[in-house]
Amino acid sequence: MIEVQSISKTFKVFQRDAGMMSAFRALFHRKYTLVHALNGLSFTIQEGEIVGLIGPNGAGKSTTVKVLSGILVPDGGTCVINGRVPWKERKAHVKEIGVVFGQRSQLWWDVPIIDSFTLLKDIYRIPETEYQKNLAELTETLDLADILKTPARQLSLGQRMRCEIAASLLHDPKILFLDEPTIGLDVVSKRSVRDFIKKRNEEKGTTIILTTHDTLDLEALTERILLIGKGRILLDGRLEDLKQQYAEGSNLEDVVVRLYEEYHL
Amino acid sequence: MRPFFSMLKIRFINSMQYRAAAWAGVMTQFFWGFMELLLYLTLSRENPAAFTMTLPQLTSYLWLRQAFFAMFLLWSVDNDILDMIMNGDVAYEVIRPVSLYSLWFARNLGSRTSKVALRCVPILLVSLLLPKPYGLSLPPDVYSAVGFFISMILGVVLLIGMCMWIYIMTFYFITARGIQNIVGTFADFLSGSLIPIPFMPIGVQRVLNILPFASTQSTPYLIYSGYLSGTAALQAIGLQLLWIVLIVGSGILAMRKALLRVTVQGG
Amino acid sequence: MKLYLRFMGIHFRSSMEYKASFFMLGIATMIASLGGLLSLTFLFMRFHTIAGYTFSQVLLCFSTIVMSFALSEVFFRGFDRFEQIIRGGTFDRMLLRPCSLIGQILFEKIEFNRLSKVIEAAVVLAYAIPRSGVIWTADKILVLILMILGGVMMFAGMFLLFAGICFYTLEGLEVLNILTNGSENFGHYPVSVYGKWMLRFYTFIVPLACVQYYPLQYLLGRSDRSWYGLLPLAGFVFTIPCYCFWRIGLKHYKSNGS
Repeated sequence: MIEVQSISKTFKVFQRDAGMMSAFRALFHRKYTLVHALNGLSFTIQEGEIVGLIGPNGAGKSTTVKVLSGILVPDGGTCVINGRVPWKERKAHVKEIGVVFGQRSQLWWDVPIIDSFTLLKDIYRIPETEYQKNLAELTETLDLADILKTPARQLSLGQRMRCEIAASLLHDPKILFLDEPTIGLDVVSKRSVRDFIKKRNEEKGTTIILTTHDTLDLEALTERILLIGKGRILLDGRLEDLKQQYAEGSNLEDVVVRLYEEYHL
Repeated sequence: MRPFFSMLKIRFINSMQYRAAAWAGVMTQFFWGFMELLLYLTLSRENPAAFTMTLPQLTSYLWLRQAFFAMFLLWSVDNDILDMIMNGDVAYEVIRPVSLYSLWFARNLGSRTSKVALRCVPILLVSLLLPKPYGLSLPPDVYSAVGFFISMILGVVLLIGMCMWIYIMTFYFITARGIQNIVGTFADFLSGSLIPIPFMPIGVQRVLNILPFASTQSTPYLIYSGYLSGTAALQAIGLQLLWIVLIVGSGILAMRKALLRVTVQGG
Repeated sequence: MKLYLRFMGIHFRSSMEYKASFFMLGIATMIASLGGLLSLTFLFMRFHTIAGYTFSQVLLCFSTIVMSFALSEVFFRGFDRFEQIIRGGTFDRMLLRPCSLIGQILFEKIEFNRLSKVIEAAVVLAYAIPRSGVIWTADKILVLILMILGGVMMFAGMFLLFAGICFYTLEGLEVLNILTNGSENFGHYPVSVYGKWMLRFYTFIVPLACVQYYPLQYLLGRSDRSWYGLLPLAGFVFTIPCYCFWRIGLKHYKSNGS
């Protein structure tokens, strides 16, 4: 289903010291360091799994999601999803995935949600009947009926996130990437998002790859966890096993803290 | 003075970060000036009688204008300040223990000088080294040099005074961006930054010479080049002073009033 | 195609949402470009001819290049402001959609307010056409249209080139405006007024003279070489290497943060 083999990606980061003189010097010469965002990352994910990617800020989670979804071309390594290399057959690949970035929006800011949806229907070339069916289903399960006619900019964050999720599922993708989907949401919104994701996975068998800092997300959704740090997979295991291994109590946050400590992250 | 000095310094460091922008500025100004020079050379060859300035005067004018370009862009105002005024955050600025007018004045001056300090040196150097019809020549005498120096300072003060009026107007008109563009273009033209004022029709020249816009950049460059000298130069400097008193003075008063409005409204 | 019309609809609607500033910007754009026209007029009032061209003949040049630039700004703005598309993360989103990237970028930023400049250029052109001393025949009208279209393509090519560079720098290089804005600004006059070397530069490096100076020679009957009338096609050819460069840049896209 998803096979990632020793992927690597390096970025140049420019830096500068404080003060007038170094500001002036930087005019002529810029120092930079190479950051290995991904450094030999490998894993496999089967169809129908829910996998949580965890790791501290800057560990390479987002870069991983971007490579898998075909946004970034890695410097080395291979990645095959549904038999395709994402960045080589971009169009065919993206038709089968849905992506939600918690911190960004894919909805058109100034127009009613439903207009954004119709546009997406055309973009993904979804047949009318199928679109109507999916739309009705999503409207019901995500409780969108009242907000479909509101422009995105007037929605609360929780409402908008539900619309974002609906937007990325209109074309019925086999894989759904969620990059911090619950960030900034209130407790009730968080719960409804989680419930929906869980249900989607159970009923439709959608493969879900989730990055999050919220341990409650992990607890509620994932069975398997990939710990990413320094650009590679440090740990790949069942959530249950980890809990037993690392914490006497059942607090997942403690488990994660211990994991980070153990791997010096 | 200390807060203003710090303000200048942080602006300076901040704009140093944009090294690509600095080089781009230099290259653009240089290329732009050179192209225009070529156009005027063609004109002077074709119809020398209609050419009101001497060629060295015009060349000096063009290179000075290019070197100090960023100093005299009226519409290059601080967008942070505009936003602050528009969303009402300006009410918090009032609590600072210094006059807001002088603070913003210093801030504007800082960002302009830092931009120009970097950009003018290479342009002035290269244009001084260029061969005869193309290069910047030195002022004809000491008086022109001194006059240029004084008039330049006055011109900058006047320009920033005008810029402060853009801020003040933002207090009253919510969307200032469009106005800013329109005013900016007009000001560019009226200050002789598109074509030097001596090349405009006589009637237009008369009007422009009285308006405050010519007092910003045209006057210092014309004094430098020797086009304006003696009494004419002194008169021009006098006019600059007059406009400064009027525009800065009225600005300080208007700003006080505008701020009062904000604090009353905002509560 | 239907899809792009929809994109356009959405953009039009969202730009109309801010009606006041929409018209304001339109007027501002128009006035901003009036400065160039006014300068040109004033110079002619003093000098009467420039390099042997009359006022109306230069206006022919002025209006075609202004129109080309304005049209390219209306339709190809997405490439001109590509660094914004990259920085805001919009490009990530585009890569996630199963449609052509070029199409998406074109329709990401359509600036209708630039149409005011197109109108201004059209008015000037209408003034210049009967007064320029050109004997208008079908083929000359065709050449005039070709000049405008060739100009649009030339600017589009430049925008594409700069967008390609953005993949490496993640920020726009202001210095390149010399080429775009410079070509518009200096294209107000037939390029030959800037001398022999500039004519060469604007023929072989940037094809500005091909969409402006050479076809103008043909229109005015200043040259026997009738193939000068076909030179605006160079604007179209120019976009090919620019597009290739952009495709290469795409492989090096590095997205940004979070």
